[in-house]
Amino acid sequence: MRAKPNTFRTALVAAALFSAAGLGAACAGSRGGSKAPASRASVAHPQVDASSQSCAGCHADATPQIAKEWEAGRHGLSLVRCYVCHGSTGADFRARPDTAGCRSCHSLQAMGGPGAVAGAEPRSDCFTCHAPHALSAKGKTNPHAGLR
Amino acid sequence: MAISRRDFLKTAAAASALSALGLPGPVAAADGATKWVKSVCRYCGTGCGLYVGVRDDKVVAVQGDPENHNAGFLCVKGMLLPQIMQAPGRLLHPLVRQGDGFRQASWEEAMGLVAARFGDTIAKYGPDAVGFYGSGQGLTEETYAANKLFKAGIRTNNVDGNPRLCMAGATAGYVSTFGKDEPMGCYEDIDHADVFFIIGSNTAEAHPILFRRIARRKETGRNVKVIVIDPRRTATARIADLHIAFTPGTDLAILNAMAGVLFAEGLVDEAFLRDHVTFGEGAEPSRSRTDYERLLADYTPAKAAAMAGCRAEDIVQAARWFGEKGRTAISMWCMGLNQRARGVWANNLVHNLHLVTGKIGVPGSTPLSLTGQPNACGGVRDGGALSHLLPFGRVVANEKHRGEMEKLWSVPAGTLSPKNGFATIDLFRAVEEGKVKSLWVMCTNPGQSLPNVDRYRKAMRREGAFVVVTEAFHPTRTSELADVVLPAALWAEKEGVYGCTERRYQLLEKSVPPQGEARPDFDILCDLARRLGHGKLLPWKSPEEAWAEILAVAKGTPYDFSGMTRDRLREAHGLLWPLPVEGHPGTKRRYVKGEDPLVPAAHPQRMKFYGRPDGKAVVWLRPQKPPEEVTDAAYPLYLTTGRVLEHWHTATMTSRCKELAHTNLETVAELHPQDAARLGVKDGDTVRIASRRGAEKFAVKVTDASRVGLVFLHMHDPDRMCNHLTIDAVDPISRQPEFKICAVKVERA
Repeated sequence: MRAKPNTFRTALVAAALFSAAGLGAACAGSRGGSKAPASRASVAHPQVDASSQSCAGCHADATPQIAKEWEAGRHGLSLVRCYVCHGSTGADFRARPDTAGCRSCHSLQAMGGPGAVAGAEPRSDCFTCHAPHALSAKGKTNPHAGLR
Repeated sequence: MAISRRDFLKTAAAASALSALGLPGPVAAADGATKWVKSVCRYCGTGCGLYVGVRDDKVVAVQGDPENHNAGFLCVKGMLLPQIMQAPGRLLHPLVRQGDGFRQASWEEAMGLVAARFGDTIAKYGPDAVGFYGSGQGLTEETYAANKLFKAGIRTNNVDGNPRLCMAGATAGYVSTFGKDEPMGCYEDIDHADVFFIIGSNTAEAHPILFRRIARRKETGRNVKVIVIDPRRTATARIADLHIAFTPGTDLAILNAMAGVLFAEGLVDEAFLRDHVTFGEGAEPSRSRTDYERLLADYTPAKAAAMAGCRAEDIVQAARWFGEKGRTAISMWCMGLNQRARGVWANNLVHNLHLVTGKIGVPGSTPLSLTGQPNACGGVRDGGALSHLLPFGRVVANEKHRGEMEKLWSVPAGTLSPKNGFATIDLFRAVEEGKVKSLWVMCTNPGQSLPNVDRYRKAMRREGAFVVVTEAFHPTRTSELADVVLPAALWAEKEGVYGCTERRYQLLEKSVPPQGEARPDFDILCDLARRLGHGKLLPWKSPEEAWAEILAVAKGTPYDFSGMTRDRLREAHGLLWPLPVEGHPGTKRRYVKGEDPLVPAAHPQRMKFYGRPDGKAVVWLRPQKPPEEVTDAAYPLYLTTGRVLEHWHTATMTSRCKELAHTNLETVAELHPQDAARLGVKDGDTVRIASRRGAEKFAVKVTDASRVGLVFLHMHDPDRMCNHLTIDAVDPISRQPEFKICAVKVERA
């Protein structure tokens, strides 16, 4: 890993990390093996200089199957990269993201579709049908039919 | 229990996005105390609609607007917008230079100083000794206010801005071919396209939400073909059926060769050519079809391929797919064509493909220029805030247009200067030469974004130059050079209109109060006007009042959106002009009879290019021309610059988001493995890259997505600026610089 020179930007990055540390303590998840995402256990990701290497670059070696599934899926195609769901490698790292992350892009789907009633709890079962990383759906019926 | 779609959307928005953004638990909970305010993304020219979630006067979340063109989707930059609002580095009070640093000042002191210096400059050296440099990031009302103050009040046309670096080639391309600026098609055309012709655009990274729509069409449409023409095998090329990589600067030959194939293989639309097209060369539409075909005969696929370093059969294939009868074709391009010394010609040649095949003005067929900044179209191009323009299709050089604006602005006849102002590079050269002594920079970052930037950074710090910068953050690579830095309200802290790529105008409602002592640029400009004695020209108490005037100025022009009242904008999720009367639904496809209200119902043909005197578009004869600087023994590699998905413009905002600060912010030098081997460098090594203008060190990334003989650098990194190296040669028509191509040498550092 390269040492970073002291630069104009370093101050900005340091400031951003500082604010992240203040916000993100509750967001880490576990690497547990269960299928349903466990929430908010504490597993840290090693700090890496991600400016010149991508998550997927390392994970092509570290977790090749997962990297391949992601790349071949819609998120890989659209460059929804690892950190979008998993956070940065700082204190906000989430080993197993919960479905809150889905909702910021897939709001309608994550709320259960147009039949949802006001005040309904958001879905927490996205990963029941959508395998993490590949994200292709299992099953023949589409509960989101009718949505754009 | 049945609820309306609108209620559902509101509930969904209120209950969802917070915890997605890495915010702390208590805020993340769904709650009824969050207010959701309709707005638009701050970043690129796609113009994604979103809701801003507000709690306790703070932006705590955003949520894509499902009823807007983006169907609820946001890219990662948009998703993380809440972080920029509270980010460290917000400028909260005015600063005045003191030696090599700054000291805090009151608004009264800072504005007093600015008004005195501008007033003094104008009194001593005349109005053309001051200038305004704005951007496509300003709101329409802000840019309109600046344009009016400088052109009608101060009486100089030295009003230019970042769109000159970004979209001037596209503007001049549309104007020369169709008579008026701005695309005639819309995003919905993506859903109907059978062939995507993407040239000089890494859509997947620069316009991710449009790329998603393209990928979805590719997935669901029947036999949809995607052609990507780019020297690099970009992320966009991943969905390509055909990727043509080529030597930078040779794409004019490829485009002419494609047109030649269309004629040779009978893929042209004879009726369309007869009814809608004329031919021209230089600046005059005085050529014939025979002249054009003679020019094309000189660009056989074999000859073009030899020039471009690509395969002739790929050029033929691209032309066949584009021209196949009964199928639609959409072209999309961005800086790869615009940021070129022959960018206007390149734009013309893309338009030619549509005109000779008649693939234009029907769903799925259109030449759609993609825009870099969120309001380059609405505020600057449409609003006429460039040095040769006046609002809504009018130009400085046209006496009638000046007369119209003098009436609309209630200033005496002869007030508006008939002389074009300085375009961007000329403006900063005028600062260098001391011709422009006081410069106002609003909402952009030329100290990083100009080509050959060292030269112009020096100019801004020249003895006798007085530079005012209004900015939400400090320091930036421009604010650090300023004499006065004024704290500007940021995005959700103010109200105004953005107009994006597809002529879609949208209102950003104010969500939260400005932080610290920050003020909207609109207020700052009105304050400046009062202090310079031009308060009557900018009398508005709110952007809404200015909007009423803007509607009157647009009325009766080919841009007519005078039916777009503020109330309508508040209700709508974006409106496409022309929209000449209240109640009009807006226009998806311009120049098309039955869709565009400005085309008479009795017009005998299906389209009327009413921006041209004869109603016909021009197929321009444009030969291949090399870039301004070609490689040689001393500088043997081509440098090209571009963008990455995680950052935007000069990263003043995206670098302050924690996930994005971690990702791709550092500019690395992408080299082909053969070049890396020749230089004896590997991933992570440091190289020094030098051009005839400057040098910088970069870490190496070896990738076969690059092309042999080509180095790629992204433009975002404030520390390792690619613009130390880029060339400030400009297109003679658009005055846009050739950021995309220059010659460099690379050495192991």
